[in-house]
Amino acid sequence: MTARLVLYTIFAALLAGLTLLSSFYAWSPYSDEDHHPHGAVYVRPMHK
Amino acid sequence: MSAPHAPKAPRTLACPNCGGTLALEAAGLTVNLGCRYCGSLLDVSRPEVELIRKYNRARARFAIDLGQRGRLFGEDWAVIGAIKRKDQSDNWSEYLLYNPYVGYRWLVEYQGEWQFGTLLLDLPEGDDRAVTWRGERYTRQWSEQEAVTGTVTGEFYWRIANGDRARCLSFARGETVLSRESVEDEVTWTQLVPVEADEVRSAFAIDGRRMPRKPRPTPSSGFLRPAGMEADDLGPMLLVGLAAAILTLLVMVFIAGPVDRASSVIAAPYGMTREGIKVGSITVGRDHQFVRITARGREFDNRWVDLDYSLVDRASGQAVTGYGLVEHYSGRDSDGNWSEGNRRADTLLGGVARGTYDLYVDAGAHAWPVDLAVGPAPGWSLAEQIPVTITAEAGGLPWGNWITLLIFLFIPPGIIVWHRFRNS
Repeated sequence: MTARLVLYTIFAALLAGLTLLSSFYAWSPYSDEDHHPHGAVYVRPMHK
Repeated sequence: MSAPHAPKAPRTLACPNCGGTLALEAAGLTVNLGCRYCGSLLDVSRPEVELIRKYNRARARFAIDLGQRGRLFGEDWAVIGAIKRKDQSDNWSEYLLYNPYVGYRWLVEYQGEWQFGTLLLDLPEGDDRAVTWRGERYTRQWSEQEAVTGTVTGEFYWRIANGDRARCLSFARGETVLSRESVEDEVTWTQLVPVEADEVRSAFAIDGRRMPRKPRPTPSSGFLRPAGMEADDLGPMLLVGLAAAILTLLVMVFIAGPVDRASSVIAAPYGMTREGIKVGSITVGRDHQFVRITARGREFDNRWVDLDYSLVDRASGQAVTGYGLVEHYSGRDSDGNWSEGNRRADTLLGGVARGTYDLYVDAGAHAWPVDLAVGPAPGWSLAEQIPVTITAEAGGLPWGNWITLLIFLFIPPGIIVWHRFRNS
């Protein structure tokens, strides 16, 4: 096993770990939810 | 130098400095001789041996002894000369091989790796970036280096001395290297092909303890070495990347959590926005989950529908909001028929906390190129509405994350493939 392959395996494991961590917390740079500066929005009119 | 020479009988002579007996393998062709015992440089181009430079130093250590014979590439060779050279960062050994019927060749050893060198008579053409030789393109490996000659021992067909300097530039194509050496106005080219260390060892019967060893790999050395010189780990690398991608996807499916889905068809009114249309309720079963909202419009053209989503937590009244757009346009211009837009829109809401949610939509339809606020669009009536099917699903997969992982995973092997393709 070459040093390059060892390094690549570590790199792949780190990337996979980061991807799983972001999935675990349901975070994605591509998600479309609005980010409100003062927290979530209350929408009272809809509770009819 | 690679042309056959008329064989002449080897002769022996005595070193004028130390008296050591020296054998001359290429008598008649050899110009300089470095005494293998004291290191003194001798001029042997004339019958009377002349001392050029006197040294009294310990015998230089080379992996192959002078006079050693061996068979490489189907020919028998005698090692008649050996020199040590160095540049700014490295040092290496070069052995001059001689066969009276074939000529001279080189055996170059650098950090336990060996190359067999043949002086070129048909010269490559090109510039400092790339050259073409025998119809094949070779690209430059490194920036130009100055090689300095160190220890010299044995016989050589040119005048050589410790401290000689040459400018070196190498060009590679796969594992074959063309090395260009310039000394003042004289330029020589050598083709270097790799030889397995074991082959050299068995050919010249080198004692294993004297055999140069490869240095321990450092973390960066594997990446810095030129194409063709590294072990071929591209296949295993692709397998590791593929395995990492597939395993990650499987675990992502597992941790995406329970799936809950709600779906409804809403009618988006034209020219106004209908607020607070309830689509349905879904339950987020994990601490954090993605919720994917998909909108699919029915057959419509030259219209778009704005969709503002509010995913409202029943317990707290807090909402996670997002936006979707379904649109489709078509027409005909000088290039013919055209169409653009998508009647389907995916909206991914991330970080949705555990709980039960109601999905509300504010929907409004518009026409292109003219909305009702400006003037009635052709084919529209105030009563027209666009039906849109809205589906909300908790526990969806963030495909974007996985595709990003895939891209990053295949960048390193991609660079290697590109590098090899460029050199092939």
